[in-house]
Amino acid sequence: MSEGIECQSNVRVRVIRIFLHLILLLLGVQSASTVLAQSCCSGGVPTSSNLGLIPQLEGSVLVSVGADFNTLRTLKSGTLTLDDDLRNRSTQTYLTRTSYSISPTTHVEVLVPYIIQSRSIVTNSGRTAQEQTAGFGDVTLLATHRWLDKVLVMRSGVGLTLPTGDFNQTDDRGLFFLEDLQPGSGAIDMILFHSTEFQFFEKNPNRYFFLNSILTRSGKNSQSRGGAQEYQFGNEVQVIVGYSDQVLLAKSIVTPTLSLRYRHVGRDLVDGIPNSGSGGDFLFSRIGANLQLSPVWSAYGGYELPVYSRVNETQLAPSYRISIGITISISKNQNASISQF
Amino acid sequence: MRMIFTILICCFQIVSCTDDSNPAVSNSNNTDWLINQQSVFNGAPRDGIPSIDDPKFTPALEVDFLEDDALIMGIQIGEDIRAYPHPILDWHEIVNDRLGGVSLAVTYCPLTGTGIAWERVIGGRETTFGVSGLLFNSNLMPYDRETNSIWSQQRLDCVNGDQIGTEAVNYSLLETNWKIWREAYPESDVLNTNTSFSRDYQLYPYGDFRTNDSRLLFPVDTQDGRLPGKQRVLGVLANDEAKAYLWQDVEGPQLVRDNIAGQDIVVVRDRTREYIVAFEVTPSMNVELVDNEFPVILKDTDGNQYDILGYSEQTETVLQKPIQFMGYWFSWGTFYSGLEIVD
Repeated sequence: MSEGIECQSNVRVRVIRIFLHLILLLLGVQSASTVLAQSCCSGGVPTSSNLGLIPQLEGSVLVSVGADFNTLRTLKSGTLTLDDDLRNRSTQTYLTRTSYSISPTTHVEVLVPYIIQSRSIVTNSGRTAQEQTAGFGDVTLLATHRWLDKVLVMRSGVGLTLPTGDFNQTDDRGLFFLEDLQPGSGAIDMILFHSTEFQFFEKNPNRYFFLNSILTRSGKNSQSRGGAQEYQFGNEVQVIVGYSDQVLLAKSIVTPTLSLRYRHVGRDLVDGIPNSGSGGDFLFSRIGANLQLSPVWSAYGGYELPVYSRVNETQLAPSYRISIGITISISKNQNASISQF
Repeated sequence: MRMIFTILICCFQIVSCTDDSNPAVSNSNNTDWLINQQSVFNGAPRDGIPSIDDPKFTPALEVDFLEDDALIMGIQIGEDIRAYPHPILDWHEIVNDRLGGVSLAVTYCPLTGTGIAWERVIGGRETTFGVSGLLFNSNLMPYDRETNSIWSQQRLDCVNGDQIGTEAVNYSLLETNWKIWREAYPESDVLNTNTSFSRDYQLYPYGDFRTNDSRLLFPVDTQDGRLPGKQRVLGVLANDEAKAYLWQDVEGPQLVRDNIAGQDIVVVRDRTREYIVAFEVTPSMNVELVDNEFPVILKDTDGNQYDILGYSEQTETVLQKPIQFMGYWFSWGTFYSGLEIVD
């Protein structure tokens, strides 16, 4: 009996190692991917693209703790990549997501981000000028309802991002950092969420295509820069299309996902007037996987590369993005499954 | 589970790594400002807009990268005549140059449309200037790399740091379009796009900023609504007093004689040739316009003629100029509140 448990445990450890090696492999790929990196936008805190942590059973709770690392070091002018590697911008987001099923079809979700943003430039003198901010960001609330559950599974939701994050941080001289470097936006954003799953394979409902769309309408912050200006980040539209499967690997359930993410960001508004150097269109490819470690624990990871980008005027564009984390399922039924987009 | 956490931490240590091989830049620790610090805003990191420290030039007649209507700023010191195009300055804002034996920083702020050169020798030591990334009333704040002190372009002095209170030694620049400059000074040299930075110099980086009168990127202390915010005017300074001279409704060359705080000046303005320039004169000095000999525009009672840069071939001297620079009206209106407009 104990040998069986030990054997099972060893297999699980091997699976975990495979999973972790995969992630390390992905991390290794990024070092060679600079040439491929084409795109992305105005950095940003990836809250909206992390929506959709769905507990399957009524009364169950999912708690996820993860991190998201977004690096921008590709200077673009429109669609043209400029030969300038002196700049680096990174956003590290540590996300706590809690999701609760009110009923089998309705759930609510809360995202609490802690954000570290930094920007560095190698100056003419060869020195590095660096700025960094850190703090809790804006909390996002989302409620979704599943209203179709057959071959097509459809889920829609509405949400709000609340201005809980600090938006007037200053440097060591007491001068305000730029808005896009602040952990918070100081505004209430509205979110519309919709997801569709196409379960084409009757024998395996866990194999499906999915299409998610997220619309964010940004609110105004009239207290930006100590109240000197009204600032409004650009509205966003995101569409994610992908394929998800579920395979048994050494007796552990692994859910790999391949997806494309399109993101359109409107121009930021300063005192109601569109700002240059903000907004654009971006397309990313993403590979991700969820590993069910036990009925309670699972781990996930993902790696995203830009495929195409078009920025307004000239902007530093994202070069790669990595997300990783663990999820705990708290449920009367320990076999509660997890959907993770 | 411990392994998971360990790997999580390791992963993020790996991806969080940044290149720390370069020494870090530090800000000035001096917290004293000559200006209201609340009016100073971060626009970019220090040197995020890179100055040109090793400028390259092309003879005017060989230039093929400028449209006729592109604005340039020109200057003559000794025998050196140089032009600095806005399409390049929009991206770099400062050119550390040396002409006529003088070490100069040519500064241009695309957000206020103001350009002026000043000497780079401060307290007997030569330095270079960079773009601090800070803005005061939306205007460029250079920093000197010798002391990291912060300067105000439009105030023309150091407002923070070891050099606080030091006034810049200025050289005015003439702003006109490339077609007129090429016609006037075909023997001049023009800053070219070989800047060692990869930029799309055909692209203006600030969208409709030049023409949208309502649009400011950063707050300013006051807004004077007497003129459209983005109207280009020549601001002239004498004895701490300023006047704004209009030129865009003046057909053909026109001479204006005026006095600013006790200083007699003449202003020559011409919309057709898109220039306006001011010279210092004495009360007894009479000058008149010269037609059809452009770039010569003035002659005095001794028969000496002066071109738009103030240079006289007869005397091989240059007319003294008051401090002057072209700029958007909103900027002059906020830096010199209530200044007189001369139309």
